[in-house]
Amino acid sequence: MNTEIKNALIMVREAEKLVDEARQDPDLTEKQRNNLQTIYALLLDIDDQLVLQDLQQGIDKLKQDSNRLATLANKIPQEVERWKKVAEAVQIAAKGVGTLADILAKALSAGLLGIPAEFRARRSRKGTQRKRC
Amino acid sequence: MGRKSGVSLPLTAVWLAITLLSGCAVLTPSQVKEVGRFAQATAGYGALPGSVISMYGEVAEENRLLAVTGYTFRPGDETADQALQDMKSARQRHREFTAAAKQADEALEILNIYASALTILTSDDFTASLDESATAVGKSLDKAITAYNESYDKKFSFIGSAAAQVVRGAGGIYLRYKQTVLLKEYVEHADPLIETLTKDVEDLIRDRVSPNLKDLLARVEREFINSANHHARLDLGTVVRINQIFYRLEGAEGLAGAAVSSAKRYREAHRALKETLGKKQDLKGVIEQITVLADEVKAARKLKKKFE
Repeated sequence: MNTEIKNALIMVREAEKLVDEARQDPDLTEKQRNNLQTIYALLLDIDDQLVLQDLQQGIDKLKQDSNRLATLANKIPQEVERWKKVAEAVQIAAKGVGTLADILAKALSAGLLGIPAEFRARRSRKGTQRKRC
Repeated sequence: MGRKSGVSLPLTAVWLAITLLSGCAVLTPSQVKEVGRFAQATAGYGALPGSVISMYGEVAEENRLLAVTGYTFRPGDETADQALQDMKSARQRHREFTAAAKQADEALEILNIYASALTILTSDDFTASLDESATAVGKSLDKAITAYNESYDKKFSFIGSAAAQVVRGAGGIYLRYKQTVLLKEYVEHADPLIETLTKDVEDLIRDRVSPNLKDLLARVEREFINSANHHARLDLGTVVRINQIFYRLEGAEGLAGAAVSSAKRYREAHRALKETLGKKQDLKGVIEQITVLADEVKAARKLKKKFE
């Protein structure tokens, strides 16, 4: 707690106690008692304002340190976005390979990439000598 | 021959990449689970200090309204105006306490954002999305091989499954590797900031809120005595209302204690997470820390809800 605020609060709270004791006096007139009530209410208001000021100092420190963590935490979604792009690129590449394989399969099935029958027969005979798969 | 080496070269390269990357640490499922548990355990923690401040403001206002009952009113005098003025300033201070609580909540919301960011960082979504396309590639390749085998009367083996695994594996391991590196990096960088921030919370509550809560309790007691003496008797409604103020004060004190101990647990759990990610040690320690943190925050949230 800030020393100045702490000292001020000690004084205000001491005054609150004194005014509270004073307002309990049964010999007070109505007007005197109301005046003491007003002073007491004013002291409570000062008390609340001092507490608020002190809290604000603590909260300001909290905000300052929270901003430092925010700077770091905000970088994470940016990194994640970059990864998403990597993952997307891999997917696009994978789909590209798939499409190419499909075209190749269709072209082969349709005989578009076929080779002449005699060459095919010759390769087939040679293939029996070096079959590895 | 050439075709075969054309296939085997990229496959070898990809497998080599996988092997090399596998040598580096990748996220283990238990690490992911613990990061997730950490995020879950800390959810809602940030609102605790704000709630204590807010409760202080409410009780302070009630106390000041109670003080207004200490006036004696006569037609024609200015006491009623004074009472109105007191009520106005009480409302104003209450608003200021609420604003301060909101600021604390907003500042600490970063702890939730940070925990969520860690969860995103360990997410399996990126790698899982690779599955679909990898399988599609595998099927297409097998289809192409079938067509080739039929056309050329060959018996080439189906490599679709292997190729799918390569696409999925290489992409997945790359992402997992990046996730691990960044997770460690962020947790390490965040640790001193978390330490400062949680100590700020402890200081705020311990030095600036808790001592004032005790004084506020004394204030309410004084006001009760004054009101009782002034009116000579109190109706049940007033007594019940004042009793509720005491309940709220007790709740605020409990919540203040919970906010302080949770801040300490948060710091310890984060430290344990950092050490576990750094040392590749078993997760027993971090599991215990996070379990304690989760229990603390859960208990505090329950307490907070009771007073909402």
